[in-house]
Parts: sequence; structure tokens; C-alpha cells
Amino acid sequence: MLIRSFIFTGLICLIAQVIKDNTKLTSGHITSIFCSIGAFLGFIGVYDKIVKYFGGGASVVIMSFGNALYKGASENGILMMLSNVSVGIVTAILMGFVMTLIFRVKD
Amino acid sequence: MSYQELVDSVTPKENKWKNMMIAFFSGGVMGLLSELLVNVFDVNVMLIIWIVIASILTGMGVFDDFVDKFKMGVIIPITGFSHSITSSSIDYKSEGFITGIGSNYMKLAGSVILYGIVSATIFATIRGLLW
Repeated sequence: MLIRSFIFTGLICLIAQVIKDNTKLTSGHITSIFCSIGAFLGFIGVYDKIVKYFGGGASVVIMSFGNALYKGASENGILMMLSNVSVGIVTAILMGFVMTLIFRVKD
Repeated sequence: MSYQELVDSVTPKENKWKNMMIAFFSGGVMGLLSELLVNVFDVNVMLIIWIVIASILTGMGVFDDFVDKFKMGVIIPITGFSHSITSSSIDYKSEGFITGIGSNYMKLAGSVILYGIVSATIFATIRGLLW
């Protein structure tokens, strides 16, 4: 399972790197695209199988964010879709604010 | 020699194959550690740990060096999401709490959330119409 996780996350990052090196897309474009791809994979029912097979590596990439949004939308209704990703978003927002209060920009 | 040729000859060429290998291995290590964390705790705790680590490293100014070194290996995992929020927030700290931090908070993460929500809405609607 550890090796499967290694290979899956590694491959996804490799694909992203290839896109970044060979096109004009920025990291922002790529993460947004991958998030939408994750929602699509959730839609066709593949992502749950990917998570089952590849384990934690499939849960850490940004695609799982799109998948969680789709799952939230289909299980709890579109307006409640954030329920599954609330942990990640709130943690990131709170940590970002705390860090901003503590640190200043490095020259 | 045209200007474009001159620019091309002077800018250092990034080694694409090397970048690919770096992204594969750094991403792979992220995935492996995530699987370990999921085994020890659970998925949400794993995400929280990565987000907190990435946010602290960004605050200390170390994460940008990580991105230079490890390429997309640290951007595609959830650490990139956390990094984008913290870095844009710290960058605009000098402009004040509302017009600086608040207005620029979700600069990059916002596009992920926006297009994630839009595509999830589309797909969930299609699913609702189909069955």
C-alpha cells in the first residue's frame, strides 16, 4: 500500500510537472484543472476505487478535493457540498491567518 | 540575431527530464508519508497535519525554497493549497487587515474552490438528471 501511494502521487505530480514545463499554464491553472478532473473522476465513480486501491496517496492530491466536493454535492445536496472539505478549508484559512500574524514577508 | 533568439540563448534551460524525476520522487514521498499518516490516524488528521506543516513552513519563508527544489511534488498535494493561502496573506500584510490580508486571502486557493464547486455542481446536476 505504501508503494502504491508512492507511485500514484508521484505519477500525478509528474503529469503536473510535464504540463507546467511544456505549456504556459501556471501552478494555479494546473491545480484548478486537477481539482475539476477529480470532480469528474468522482462523477464517473472511479475516484473511490482509486482511493481504495492507492490509499492515502490518493487522498492527499488536490484531485481528492474535487472528488470530495462532488461527493458532498451528490450526497448532501449541491448547497451543502462543502461539508466534506470543510476540515481542510477551515484549517488552511485559520493557519494562514495565525501565520500572517506571527511572521512578516521575507525579503 | 533576433531579440527572441538572444533571450533564448541567455536564459538557462531547465532540464525537463530532471524536473519530471524530481516531481515524481518528491510527490511519491508525499504520498507514502500520507499513507503512513492515514494508517496511524485517519484521513482528516492527515490533511490537517500537512496543512499545518505547509502553513508554518510558508510563514518561515522556507516553503518557496521547497517549491524550487521539489517542483510540483509539493504543489499538487494539499500542501500547495495551504501554501497559496498563507503566502498571499503574508505578502499583503503591509496593506492592512481588510484591504490587504482580507481582500487578497484566497487569491490562488479561490480559483481551486471556485472551479471545484462549479464542476461539482455541473456533475452533480447531470447525475441528478440521469438517475
